[in-house]
Amino acid sequence: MTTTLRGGSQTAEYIQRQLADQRRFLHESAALGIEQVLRDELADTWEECSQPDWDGYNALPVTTGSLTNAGRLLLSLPLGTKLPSIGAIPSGHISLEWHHSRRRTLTVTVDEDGDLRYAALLGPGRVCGTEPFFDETPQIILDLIARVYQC
Amino acid sequence: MSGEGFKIDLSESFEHLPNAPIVEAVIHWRARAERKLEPAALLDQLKAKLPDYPHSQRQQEFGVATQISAEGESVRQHHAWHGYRFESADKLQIAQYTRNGFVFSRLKPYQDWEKFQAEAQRLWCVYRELAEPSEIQRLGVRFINLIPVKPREVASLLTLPPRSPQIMKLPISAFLHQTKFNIPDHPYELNVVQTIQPPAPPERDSTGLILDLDVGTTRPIAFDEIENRLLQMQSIKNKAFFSLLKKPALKRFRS
Repeated sequence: MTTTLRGGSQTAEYIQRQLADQRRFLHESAALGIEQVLRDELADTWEECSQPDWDGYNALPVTTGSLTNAGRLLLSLPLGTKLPSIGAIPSGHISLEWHHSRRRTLTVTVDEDGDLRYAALLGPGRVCGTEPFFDETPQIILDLIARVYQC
Repeated sequence: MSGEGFKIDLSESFEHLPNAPIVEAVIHWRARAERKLEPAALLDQLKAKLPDYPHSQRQQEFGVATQISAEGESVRQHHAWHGYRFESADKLQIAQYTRNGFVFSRLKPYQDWEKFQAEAQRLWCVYRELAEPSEIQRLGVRFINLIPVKPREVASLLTLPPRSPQIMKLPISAFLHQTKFNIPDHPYELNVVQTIQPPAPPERDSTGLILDLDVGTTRPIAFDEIENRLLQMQSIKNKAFFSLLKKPALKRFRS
């Protein structure tokens, strides 16, 4: 998976690779990292949902663009973030769910254009919206994850 | 973390270094296109507007997905159009037009800030016209410096060098140090990366000390703020450069 390169020189590319390698190394930590989710849950979702009609109700296949962006989003989460459950929705997009209880839950769907659509139930309140994803988790998503588990 | 003592001072002047170690200067507008960009049409439009950037290249995003079927594992590669990269005839100026914004780079030899930012802004206007973003989510100024050094020299050149534990006194063979600083009372952050890269063939002895200074806005900005924001970020970048290098390092760049 790649990220947008902010620069055009070989040196810029070298820096980006070094930083990504370091981060990836930390993500391999069982305590802090997201590697296991990428390897297991995201891969399982892809395996189960990459064919048309994977739900028996004419669901669209999960797109590789959504899969790639979901992987990037997971890797951009701060180390140690509570891990989400991974799934897919019938429009062919990967969904990440942080679930604490019936009324404290957050779902983020990731499309191939890099738009994040989020919907949260927080007790009596509902929050939803769309944020562009530029390889950094939007602050509102981080705030909502924290609020899901804040009770 | 305290930022007491630092103020952005646009009247402060910085020494001109004729041999500055800048290998790339970048201005980056993160501003998502709000007009649907159709790759072929966009390429035609950009070619028409950028006759002085004759080299164009399609940029792809690359991903790999693994499919496990009854017949065994198969790997699917996915390439999606991401944007276009245009290079000037001498290949020293690069303009990257993507769905998420515009990046302008000047490779070495870097000339001066006025020429650099004027060209960046000229090319940004092309992006703005074609992509119609409604705001700039992040504006960034990045300068990447590459200084040839012997590994043992690193500590004498950086004000914040990597150190071996006092008791062990082990030689350092590699390091990667990233620090993000907030700029108090201003919507900026400064990202500093210090690292070394091994000798680039055919070079065998000289390691490259990289000092990467990236100043960016921390909140969306309006189009009419660009000029002032760029000036302030340039000043922060200059201050950081002269603060992070010791005098013996600066001396190398005077002639």
